[in-house]
Parts: sequence; structure tokens; C-alpha cells
Amino acid sequence: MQTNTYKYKDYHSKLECTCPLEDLKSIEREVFRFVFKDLEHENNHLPPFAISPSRIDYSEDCKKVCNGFALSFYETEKQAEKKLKNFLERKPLLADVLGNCIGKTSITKRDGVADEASSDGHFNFHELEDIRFKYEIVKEITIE
Amino acid sequence: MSKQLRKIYGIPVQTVDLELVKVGDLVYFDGPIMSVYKNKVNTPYIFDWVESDEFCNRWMVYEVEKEALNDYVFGKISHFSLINGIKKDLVYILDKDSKGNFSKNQVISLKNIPNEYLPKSSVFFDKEEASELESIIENFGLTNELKTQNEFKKFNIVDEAIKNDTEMINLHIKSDSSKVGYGKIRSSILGEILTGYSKLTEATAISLFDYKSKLSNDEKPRRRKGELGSIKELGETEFVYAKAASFSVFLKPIKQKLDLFDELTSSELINKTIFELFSASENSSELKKIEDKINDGMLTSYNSLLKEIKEQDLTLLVQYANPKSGNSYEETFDSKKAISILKNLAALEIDKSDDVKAKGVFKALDSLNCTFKFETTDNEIFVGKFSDMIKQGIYHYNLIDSYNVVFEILTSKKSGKTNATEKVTMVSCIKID
Repeated sequence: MQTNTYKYKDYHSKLECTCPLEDLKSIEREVFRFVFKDLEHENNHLPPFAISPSRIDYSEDCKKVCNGFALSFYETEKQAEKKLKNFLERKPLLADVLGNCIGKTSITKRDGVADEASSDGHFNFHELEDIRFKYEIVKEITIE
Repeated sequence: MSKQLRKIYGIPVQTVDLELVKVGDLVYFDGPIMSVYKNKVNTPYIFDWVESDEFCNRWMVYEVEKEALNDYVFGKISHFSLINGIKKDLVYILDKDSKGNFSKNQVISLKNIPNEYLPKSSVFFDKEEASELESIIENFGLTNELKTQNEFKKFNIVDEAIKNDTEMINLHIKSDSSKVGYGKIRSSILGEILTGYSKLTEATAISLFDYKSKLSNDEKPRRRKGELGSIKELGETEFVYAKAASFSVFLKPIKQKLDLFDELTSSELINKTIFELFSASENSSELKKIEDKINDGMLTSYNSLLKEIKEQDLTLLVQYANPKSGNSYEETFDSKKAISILKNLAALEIDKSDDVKAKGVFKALDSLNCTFKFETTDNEIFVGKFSDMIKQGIYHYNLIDSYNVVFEILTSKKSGKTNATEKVTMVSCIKID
């Protein structure tokens, strides 16, 4: 896939490492993401570096900085729910940054590339230009 | 209106010069959420994200002991305990902008940390959330075999019992928070633990010695005045002394009845039964095996004791010794163990069966489902099913004649719940001529 088609290509080119990393793949599946109940909230569509102020530092490992321009998704609703609940029980105010809902959407092979999911189902997704996912809320997390 | 960071009631500091170097992240999602740094002498510092507005991320920064970090990484203490257990009552609140500049730095005391900044007490380390965990472990030499802060100095309870020439019970309470310290403890916590144990010994005394409570209602003879009180007294203890090293309370039984046919005193039997409950409750199938020895009072008081341990994040060591027999028992509880035992207790259903004799008339008969509604001469209504042995006789029963009946009432109650479910079966029905 040509690099100039990625949404954040201008930032990729400034990094020391190749970004997106090699061995990423196009995928076609249903995926889940932490979103706000207000589906128009911009954070629903932004990678970590685009959400100000970012917690990622440019001095971090290049792979982490590269993934700062990718969207975080989970492979299943159950995995996403478990993680969001854990995060919000640990950091209640993370809901103001990540949202407190699980949103479902579908990724097609024309949308971008993904890395391999980790053991908890999380993976990073680098979008192509002009891609904007539509989400459907499947779960709202409330922490007592 | 844009979001603003919470107001913090701390002491402003111009510069914070801790000279820290990052080691790794204990929690990472779309950026660091909880990171470990080290200073020049390799002391760990935690950077704990707490809040952000459109300009800054706010971090809570605190020094921890290597042992506490070790306990946290190996799942022995919660995130809450890690914060609550810091030795220096000093936390930095640092606001960092997107250029990496720190501003409006403050130092605050633990007690001034906003509640919204604190994790729930059930949150522990999750290695799936960590990044560069190997670096953290290697840098600080963390190991699962390291002696934990939770192992605490035990008193020799047999020695204490011999020294005082009486059976002794020790309740040794420890916490990583400021609620329990060297020679001091919050009154509310001490009160809850003492009350919980006292109710448990009282309920166990009733379970062991009150044979009348096990009889059905119509077989139960009248109690003598003060009889139940005397039985409860067998479980009663009195305070002897307290010792420091966290907080240790020594109690002794106020009554030690010796049965000529049993080598154990009443108080030793009570405590032995309690420790059997402690041991069995760690496993749901073992717990089920001893359920006929457990009454509702024992379960309710044990539930309360465990909830206090869980909610206050305590470690409780319970010891008992009899200087004459040389027998001793001990058991340790922490919040993780308490949570696990509470789950086992919640799954336990206590079934109790009572036979009740009555006289009265049928108000309804259903031959299809073999069910009835019966009103006794005392105007008490029973609704239930006929047993297999007598259900054939339903065609001979009517709504006019009076009958002598026997009901078998099976009461099922889940541990810790106030309401029980009842199942009524008529096992005998004879027409009164």
C-alpha cells in the first residue's frame, strides 16, 4: 500500500522508524472501540496524538510514537468491555478522555492496515485518508 | 464551557527537581497511564495519570518502597494499597502540557487526594496493560519470592497463653494504609473486628450447645430464664491487653466449661469449630461438607468480618491457644482471600427441615397438581404439595371435615441473604372423627 494514502502521512514521514510498521495487514471484520455516548464527539475518531494534550512523548520508543497515530480497537465486545471497565475502575476520569461506551463498527480492506492483536484483543489501526468510521453503541459502562 | 482541572488544596512548589528517569509503564493505553521512574539511587517513583483538560495532563507522583512495588507487580496488594501505603505522606501533583512543561506544581498530603483520583480497592496489577515490564522487574530486582510487606511478625500465642495461664485469642490487624499503624488503629476498624469475632464466637456457641434450637417447634421445651444467655456467654471473651507491631489484641474466654466426657473445654471447642469454618470456607466443596455444623448466625457474622477485611484492605491474623492442652490454631486473611471466601459463602445455601403438626380444614384442593391450601385452628394458612405417599388420598379429602396433619417445611436460605424460600409438603393427613 502506498504511504501517501495514510491519513497521518505527514507525521509518519518525520519519524525515525518506518510508519506504519511493516507486516501490517488489511482486515475485514467487525471491531470495537471505546467511544463517547455522543457519537459526534471528535475523540471517537482521533488517534492518541491528535487528542490534546497527548500523553505520548516524542521521546518514547518509535513504535509507540507511530502507534500514536493509529486508532485502538478490540476484536470482540467482551474484550473491549473488560478493558474499559478495568481502566475506569482504576482511573474514573479516563472517561473524559476515552468515553465510557463500547462502539461497534466494521473495517473493510479499503480502510487501512492493522497490526497483530495482542493477548487481550487490542490492536492498532492506521486509517487511510478520508476514512471516518460510523459507530453503534453496544454497551455503556457505569462504575459505582 | 471547557473542562477545568479540579482544584487541589496543596502547597505550591516552584520547581520539582527529582532527577527521575523512566523505567517502564505499569499501565499503557494510547499513551502512559501509570509509569515507574527511578531516581539517582534507584528509588522507585510512580507517575499516576489522574486527569486532563485541553491544555494539561495531570499526574500524581509519589515515592514507593521497592517492596511495595514488588507486592503490587506480583498481585499481593492493590493499586489503592500502593498509594495508601506510601511512607512519606507526600504526593506531588504535576500538570504537564503538550510541550512537556510542568506548571502549577503542588505537594499534598495523602488525605487531600480527591476521591476521583483514587482507584477502586479491587483493582490490581494486570500485566496485559504493562509495557516494558521486563525492564521494571530487572531494574528493581523484583521477584515473586521477595518477602512481602504483608508477612508480619507473629506472636507466639502458646507462649502468651502459658504466661497468662489461660486460653488466649489474638486478633492481629495490619494494613498498608494509615488506618492501622504501630500501636495505633482507627476505632471504627477495631470495633468492627472485635464485634465481628465476638458475634462469630457467640453464634458458634449456640450452634454447638443450644440443642433446643435444633428441635422442631412443637417438641421444643420452654427455656429456663437466662438459659440462652448462659449459652451465649460460653462464646464471650474479654480484652486482656494490646501489643504494638501493627495492632494486636489479646482476648480470653470469660467461661471455660469442661465436659467430663470431652477433653476439650467449651471455649476450645468453639474456637476449633471456628477455625474449621475458616479452613473449609476457602473451598466451596469443603464448605458444603460442614454445613450442618454452621448456623445462620455464624455465616452472618463471618460475612461481616470478611467484608470489613475487604473494604478496609486489612490483613487479619487470628490465633488461639490452650496452655493446658497445648493445642493452637491460626489463620490469616487478606482482602484477596476475603473476596474469594465471600464468593464461596454466597453460593452456600442452608437447607433446614422442620416438621409441624396442625389441626384444621382444607380451603382448596387441586387434584391435578396435588396441591392444597390448609387453614389451621389458629388461623394460620399453609400452601403446598401433598407428598407422594398421601397424594392418592386427595380424592377422599374435602373442604368440610377437620383433619390432623403434619407438614414438612424445607427452608432454603443463601448465606448472607435475609430472605429464605420455603417449601411446604403435607406428609400426613388423618380425618378427625
